Amino acid sequence: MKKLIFIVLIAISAVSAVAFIRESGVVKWPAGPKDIPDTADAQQIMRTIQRAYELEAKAACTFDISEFPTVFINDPRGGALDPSTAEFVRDVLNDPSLTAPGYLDYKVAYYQWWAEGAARWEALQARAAAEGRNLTQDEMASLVDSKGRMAGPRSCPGPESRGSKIDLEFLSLHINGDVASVVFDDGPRTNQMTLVNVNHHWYIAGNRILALHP
Amino acid sequence: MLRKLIFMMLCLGIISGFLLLVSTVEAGSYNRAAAVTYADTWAHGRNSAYPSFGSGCNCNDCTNYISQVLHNGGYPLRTGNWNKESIYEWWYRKVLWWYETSNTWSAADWLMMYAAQYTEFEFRSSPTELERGDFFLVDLRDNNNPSGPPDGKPDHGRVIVGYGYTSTNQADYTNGCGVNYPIPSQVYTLLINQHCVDRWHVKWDYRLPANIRYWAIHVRW
Repeated sequence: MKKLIFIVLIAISAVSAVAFIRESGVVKWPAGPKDIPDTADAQQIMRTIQRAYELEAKAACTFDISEFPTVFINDPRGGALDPSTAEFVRDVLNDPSLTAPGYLDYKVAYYQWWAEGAARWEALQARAAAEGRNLTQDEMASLVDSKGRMAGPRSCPGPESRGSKIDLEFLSLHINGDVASVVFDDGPRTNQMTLVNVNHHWYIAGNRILALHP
Repeated sequence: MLRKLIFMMLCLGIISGFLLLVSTVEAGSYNRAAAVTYADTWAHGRNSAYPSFGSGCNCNDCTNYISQVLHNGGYPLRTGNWNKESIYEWWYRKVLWWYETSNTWSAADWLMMYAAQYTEFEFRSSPTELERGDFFLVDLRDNNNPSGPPDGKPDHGRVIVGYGYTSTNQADYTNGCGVNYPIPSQVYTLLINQHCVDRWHVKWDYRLPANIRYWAIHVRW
């Protein structure tokens, strides 16, 4: 009887110790299988995210955002933009009445801001090049707005870059009705993206950056 | 007569030499080799002669590292009024046993603002147009809200160390928090060093998606 109690106590202690170590993060456990269901919806969700990155890579060079509404959407199920992002959107779109901008609004605003800045940057660079000089201090300062954002060039793939290839690593994907939550790594960031299903099509409605590791 | 001529030639030689020296100091005195040597020496370390903004997981030392590289390349401190929040100053100093820095020394968006104030820096179209000892900044997230999306202001930076073969050391390919990434095939390409995550001689766009906004900054000092 004493032996049995002793064995049970040892077993309970061992399980407790393992649980504590695992939760405390003292020991790193090998990564388990990815928490991604093998369903058509999951496949479509991952394709949508991949497509969004490809469209953004193209837009970073051409500023063509015409296909953004095929992957991004304004939908409250994606969560409200944080106040600073919402202010950025209102600022760029010059629409103070936009009380609750959505994720599509944000993406449009970001690339619109970038495109406007790139146009100013390129005009100043072209003028300086025609005059055989570099940008003056005043010209440089004119590229910075009152919020500390600086206009600059477009980002086009060159011979030394990887082009628009994006290696996304999907870590988990959970679907709850018509809302999905996906955790993935895009290189410098671990993201938690929210997608919503509208008319049998998944759209990106929000994103949170969980960790930065560039 | 001959003595006078020799004396005049000597004077002319000395004056020419002095003018050449002065012009060399004023233009192109940034020592790129020294900058890169420093960048390589401290890619995985922290120099106690400078402030540190952490190491390892979730540290915040990338711009401080860039500033140290610039400083060791001979780019001088601009102390002005020792005003931490001035975009016209760039400095660090030791006060008793701790360090103080200007925001322009230690924060990517402030360093960009500083660089925009002086023609000692030239903003170029792409990191691939930079030279060793130059640096570039990127916008990865919202500076006011770490979980928010990019906001048009840089929040991370990398130092260009020139062309060469990429590192094959596992220590250069981690997430800084104990997770190892695969070591890419070795290639000859444009290389960077950075802090947080600490990396030595990795490809300039390693783990950066193509939709990232860059500010590529060439030092002209």
